[in-house]
Amino acid sequence: MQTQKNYDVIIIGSGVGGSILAAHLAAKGVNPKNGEQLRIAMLEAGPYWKGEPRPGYGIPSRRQLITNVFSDDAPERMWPWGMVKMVGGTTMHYGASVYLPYSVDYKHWVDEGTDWTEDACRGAAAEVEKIYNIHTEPDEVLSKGCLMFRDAARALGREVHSAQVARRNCIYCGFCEGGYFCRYDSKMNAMTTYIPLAEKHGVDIIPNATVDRVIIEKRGARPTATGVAFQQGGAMVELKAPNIIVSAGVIGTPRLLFMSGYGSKEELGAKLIVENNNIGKHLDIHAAIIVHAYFDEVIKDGSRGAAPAGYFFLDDAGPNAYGRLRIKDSGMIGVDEPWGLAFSPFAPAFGREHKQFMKQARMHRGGTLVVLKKPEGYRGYINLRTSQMEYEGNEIIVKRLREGGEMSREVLQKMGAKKIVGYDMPPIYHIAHGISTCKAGSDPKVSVVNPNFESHDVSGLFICDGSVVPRSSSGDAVGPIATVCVLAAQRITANHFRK
Amino acid sequence: MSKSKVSRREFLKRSGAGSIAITSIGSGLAYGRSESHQASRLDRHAMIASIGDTLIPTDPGDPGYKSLEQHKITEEVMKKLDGISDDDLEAFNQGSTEFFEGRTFLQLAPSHRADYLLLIIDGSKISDKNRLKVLQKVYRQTRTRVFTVFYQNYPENVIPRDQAGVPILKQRDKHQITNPNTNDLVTGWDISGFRAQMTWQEEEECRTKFQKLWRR
Repeated sequence: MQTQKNYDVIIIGSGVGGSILAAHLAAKGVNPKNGEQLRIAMLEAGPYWKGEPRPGYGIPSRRQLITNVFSDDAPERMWPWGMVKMVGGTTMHYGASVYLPYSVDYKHWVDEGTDWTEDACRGAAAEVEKIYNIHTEPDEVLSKGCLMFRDAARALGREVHSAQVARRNCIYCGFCEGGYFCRYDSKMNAMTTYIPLAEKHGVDIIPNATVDRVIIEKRGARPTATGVAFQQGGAMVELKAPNIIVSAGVIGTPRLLFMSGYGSKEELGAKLIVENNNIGKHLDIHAAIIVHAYFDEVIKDGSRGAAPAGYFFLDDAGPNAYGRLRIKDSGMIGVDEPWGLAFSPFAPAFGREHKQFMKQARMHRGGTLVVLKKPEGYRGYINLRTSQMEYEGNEIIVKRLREGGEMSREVLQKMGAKKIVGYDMPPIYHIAHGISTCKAGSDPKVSVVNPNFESHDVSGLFICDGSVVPRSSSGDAVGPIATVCVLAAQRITANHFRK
Repeated sequence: MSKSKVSRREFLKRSGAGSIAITSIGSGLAYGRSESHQASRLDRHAMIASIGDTLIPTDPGDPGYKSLEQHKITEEVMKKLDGISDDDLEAFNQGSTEFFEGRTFLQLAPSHRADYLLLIIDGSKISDKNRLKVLQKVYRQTRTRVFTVFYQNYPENVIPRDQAGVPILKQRDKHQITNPNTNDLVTGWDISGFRAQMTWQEEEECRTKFQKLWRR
């Protein structure tokens, strides 16, 4: 095993959380013993497509790597949703749909045992809004279908909101959604925001480093994190540091802690070093369905556009965003890929009719996306051996999704859709935007880190990513995660890295 | 309680199986009897090619699946059809004899091949449920694969890459435009109007058009 130089801080993961922590600590933190600049390493399992961002244009090296052509996606460049292994993490292929926390989110966080009030997070949220350039798009870049959705929903008495996006200098190529990277550096992600700042302040970014475990030593009564062991280029490497920040994401973080001997006695058995029964538990996700509609009139271009901008409305089943549905126009803007369109429920099965459908369908097809934040009391977990999110369906989820489907049908009908499909289908639903698998709280019995992001059980170990966020009501996760991670950076700097 | 989870990518692209009403099936005239495809020695390529041609027909001035045979589209489709055995295809080929005066699928006229597919989709006239299951499997899996290959722009779907997986640029590609589609051939993208990656000129036009919004 090789041993390399020592660092003051090692950050594991370079996605939304890791990038924020690296940039903040490097810019504002100092070694409290000597007042010198912190020596920080940020480890990432995948490659680093390095280069100063140039929003609206992109840079040659990254443009060459990002083809935006699905059929030729090289296997080594494809990652399952939420599991991107490259510098920038999942923000590299998310849809750039970003919502800052709602007031009710702060309430939930306080209810879960943190002190992350709206006041406490105000500065963090403002920073995220600025750095990620969160905004709504003007109607002039939306499709006719988006505006029809807005008007129909309003006519039905819904309070309609503009969708928020995180982009800068966008040229509306239409490829934001569907897992594509942005070759124009217009999608605001870790690579185009905090990572250049981190590097500017001297953070060593170490790509292609797959961390096997956090080294946890038992020193006296309290276990202490002392470094990490990772594989790089076929060799096992060990890095030492008195402060380890895990930002490996909602799946990666609990999985890594589990591999490090930190988890439940029941699951770890003889490999247990530190016991905490909450690691990998409390998974909060959303469930979603798509309702499809077909219009006689042309409602969009079908090739370009400002996806995922548009409009949405909310529907709550009770107070405090209980059973919240977010119903947004979907497929009304951006690319409509023919290899998906060919299997549309509106497509004739085959033959000349099918071919004719394919010639014009991209301009006539739309629908809604119905997103349900999990009803109160239902939680999933991460299978720490397979890294799968496990979440059982239940009758409340099915009921609410069907209600959302019916609300969608009403709006689409009002818009004049000729055919509507999917609103009453058996709920084949998608789950995403997981959070809370190492959640924060003041009670160690039901949480993993305290509100200052310090492990309840291991000295020198911090967790800062979506896994600590106890709940989000927006349906998308980047906004709340980024806000909480800026707060984390502020608190960790103040509590540990001041002279 | 049913639990059904799909990947995000799959979910965003997913829109269910196509459907079409069954139409009446006439007895029709014999076609292609001179094609000597014997049941005992099935031509797997001919079967898939014929199904592909039925799914995406080719007409004068309106290219389709068959137009791409010169570029070996059926070989491409067959690369990922492992779920269909020769026995399955044989059953599919022979299955039409019951309804079309003893003619196998390969012996049918194109219009009758389409009728045969409709009959399989409908299923009500095929009493042997095990046989129907096989016929529908062949239809569905071949349809999925044919549509996927065709509408992912075969044969202009491949971007040459080096050993590290990095796209190799065309000589004229000064701005890393890697859209592989050309005007030389009518492909699935051309038929469906899918434009994929912008040219540099298109990019510049968009930048000019949208720059006024950039100061946010």
